[in-house]
Amino acid sequence: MGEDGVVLRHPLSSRIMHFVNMVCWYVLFATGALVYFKLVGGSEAALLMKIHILFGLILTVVVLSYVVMAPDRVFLFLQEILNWDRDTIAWWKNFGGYPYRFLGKTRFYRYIEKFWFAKPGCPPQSKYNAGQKFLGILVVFSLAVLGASGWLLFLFRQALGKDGVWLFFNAHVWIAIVVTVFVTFVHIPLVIINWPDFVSMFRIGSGTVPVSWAREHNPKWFEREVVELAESMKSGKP
Amino acid sequence: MRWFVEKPASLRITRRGFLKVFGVTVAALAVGVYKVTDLFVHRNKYIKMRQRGQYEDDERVRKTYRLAASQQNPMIKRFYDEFAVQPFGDVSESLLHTTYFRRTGGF
Repeated sequence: MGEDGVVLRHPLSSRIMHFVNMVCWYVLFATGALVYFKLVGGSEAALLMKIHILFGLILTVVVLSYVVMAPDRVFLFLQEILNWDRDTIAWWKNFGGYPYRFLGKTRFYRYIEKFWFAKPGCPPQSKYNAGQKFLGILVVFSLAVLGASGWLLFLFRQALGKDGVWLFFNAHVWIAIVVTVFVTFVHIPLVIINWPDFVSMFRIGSGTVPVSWAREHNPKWFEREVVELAESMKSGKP
Repeated sequence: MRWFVEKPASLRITRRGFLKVFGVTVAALAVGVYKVTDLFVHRNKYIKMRQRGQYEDDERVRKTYRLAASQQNPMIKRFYDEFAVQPFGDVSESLLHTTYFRRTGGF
């Protein structure tokens, strides 16, 4: 923990939402994939589909509850992921310096160092960097499409007609596969590399990161949107 | 130790952010709801087109031959007398009934 204090990055409501979303997403993906790719028999598939519907219901209730009970968090999250300024665009020029970070000390780097995507450095980012904003948009979009298509297929299959069933079923399956692959092989490894952010999301306790870490990774957020908590309010730690 | 927190939402929601979030949300909902209702409204489009065409053909024949009812159509009567045996029979069902699926794969 940094010498100069901590900053609350993920409030409890957001962490509960993230945790439930993570668990439900992977259960839904596993049950759906086993049935779609015919990796189980008929009776097992029927049971897995019941589990699929149950976790779909849990995820739907939790997401809608989050929207109703923490509308300010939802709004600020949407505002943040939709705010693409000059520094956000600049991040994509070298992917925030990640290629350099991974390959900069290897022999392979000399072959790619002249390319724009391999340059070092990272423009100042707000609460989420450009890649996280992209992921945020992807997850919000996919939650909406998967939720809508899933419940329409479950409740109103007959009313959709053949074209509607074909469209919603394929959208449901392939959006889920693409987003799961992206989250599993990009989001999770990168957030584990950024260990303080990972810890603030999952540890038992407050969702804080060291101020020094926030200053380095999210300077625009720390300077513009964060204030120091008054001495009198510290007893009830956030 | 010093503690820092985010400013309250009332100080962080900007006019531009408000318009952006509501604009994108409303646009996404409008497009989504339009697409779903459009699919719902047109789900039987080709079945209804075929039905309408058959009723129009039937009406045209009845006007031409001055018939009171469809079953008096001489072509239909000859079709069943000489070929299809009876309505809802195996021959008539195999020839007259259709199924609906995408036929654009070869184009």
